[in-house]
Amino acid sequence: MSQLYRAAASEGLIQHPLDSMTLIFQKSSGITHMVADPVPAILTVMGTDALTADDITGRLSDSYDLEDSGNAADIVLARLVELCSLGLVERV
Amino acid sequence: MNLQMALGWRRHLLLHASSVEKDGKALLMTGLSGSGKSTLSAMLAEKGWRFMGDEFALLNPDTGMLHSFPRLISLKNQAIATMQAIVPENRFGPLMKGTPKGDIRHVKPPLDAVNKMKDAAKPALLLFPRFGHDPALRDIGKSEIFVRLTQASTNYVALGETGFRALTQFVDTVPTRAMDYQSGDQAEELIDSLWSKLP
Repeated sequence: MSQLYRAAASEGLIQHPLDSMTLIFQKSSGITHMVADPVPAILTVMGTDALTADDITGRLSDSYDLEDSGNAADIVLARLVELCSLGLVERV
Repeated sequence: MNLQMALGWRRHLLLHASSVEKDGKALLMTGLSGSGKSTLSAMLAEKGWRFMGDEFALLNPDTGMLHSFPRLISLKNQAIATMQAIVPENRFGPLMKGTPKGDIRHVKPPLDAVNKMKDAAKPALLLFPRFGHDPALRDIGKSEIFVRLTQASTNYVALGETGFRALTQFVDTVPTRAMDYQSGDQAEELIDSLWSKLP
């Protein structure tokens, strides 16, 4: 769990919340992503920092009431892997 | 012509939708083939609305205004008889029977639609009509509306960020309902009920 991740620069993304979903338009690719929680929250707490999945989970715990903190790190890691494949997060 | 329009146009966000206007406000209708969007726009055009188009609605990404694209209206199957009951015969073209899409007959839009085709209108209501079901109006979540409209747009991807901003603004500001109906009268009643409550 020591792998570091960094979110794509926020100026390259447009986040637009709708209802239960959030749109993320990626300027570099022109692709519109539609994501659900906790992805917007993950990107928000990552900011511009290079962080591990545990770091991100910690920041989420500080900012949000996590219902099941037991496997939160696993969920965050799974989302990070998906976000890497979409180009919204990079491995550092 | 439609293909050229669908693939080449960049000045507006193109929505595969019919539209009519009243009091400067536009009603858009989009849905699958057979939903009745074309017939409904043609019918409303004979009942006090200005016909803006039955194929493409052109959304200006800078102003959010809707521009018209009135052309011949392509009626299919039972819509032909419906429109023959309310439109003079001299506005119809020849009946083409047994095409791959069934019987087809074109009708000219009212002259008013062509004379005012440069008049833009503010999008005020979006409907997803569905013909053949008990009359009903249903709310739809914004996520579903957004996805359906990207599917209904022929140039959303080509417009990039401009298209994204235009479509999200549209979804955020234009009231939207799914509408089931079994007859033109039912649809007109449902539309009037929604229209009368608009700000």
